[in-house]
Amino acid sequence: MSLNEQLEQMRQASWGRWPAEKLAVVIRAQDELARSGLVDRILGIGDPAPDFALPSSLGGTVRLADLLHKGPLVVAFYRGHW
Amino acid sequence: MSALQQLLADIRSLGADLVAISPELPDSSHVTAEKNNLTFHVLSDVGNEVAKKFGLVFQLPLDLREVYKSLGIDLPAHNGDQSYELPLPATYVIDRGGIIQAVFADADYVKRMEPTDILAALRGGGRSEHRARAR
Repeated sequence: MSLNEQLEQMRQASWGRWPAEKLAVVIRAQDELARSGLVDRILGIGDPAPDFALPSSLGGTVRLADLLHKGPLVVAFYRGHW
Repeated sequence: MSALQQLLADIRSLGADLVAISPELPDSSHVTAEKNNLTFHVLSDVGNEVAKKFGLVFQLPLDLREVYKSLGIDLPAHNGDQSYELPLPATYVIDRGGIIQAVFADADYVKRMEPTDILAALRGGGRSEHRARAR
């Protein structure tokens, strides 16, 4: 099973436990976000990644330029663990 | 996050590395890293300053804030501000020259870049772009 198939199963399980009126709010917000065009305006292929320096869970501060000095990098933006 | 941890060895075997970025305060990022036994950097982008530079930030509508509150999700406590701003979940592959070679972003918060696509991008097996708008 692909990662997205697994994630879709988890979504169906959690949405199945939510009251219909709350689920409706979540779905409406997601549709509005999809229609907002935000994904069309984000940085894409060929764009230079803006440098950053951020505090890390492993301690210290991590700078993009330092990481790229060692090799290519995967950057995963996520909303939070909640 | 645990899917990324499972992929970490493959990513590093290609000479690459992985970081995750969220708007959570450092304390919350520590909790995330510990809960999932993450051995890569989980970075705290308080105020979404970096996510804004990538163009990823949006604000939660008022009714959704209430739903989250009712589910016990306290965003101001996690993120340290009252902005109710979040990044689109997005995955970037950046080459050594700092140029974006692959991007996956979806308005559907559940969708993620497939591990096989991440590894393909790192192998230089084609630049991949996914920008989904509708479910």
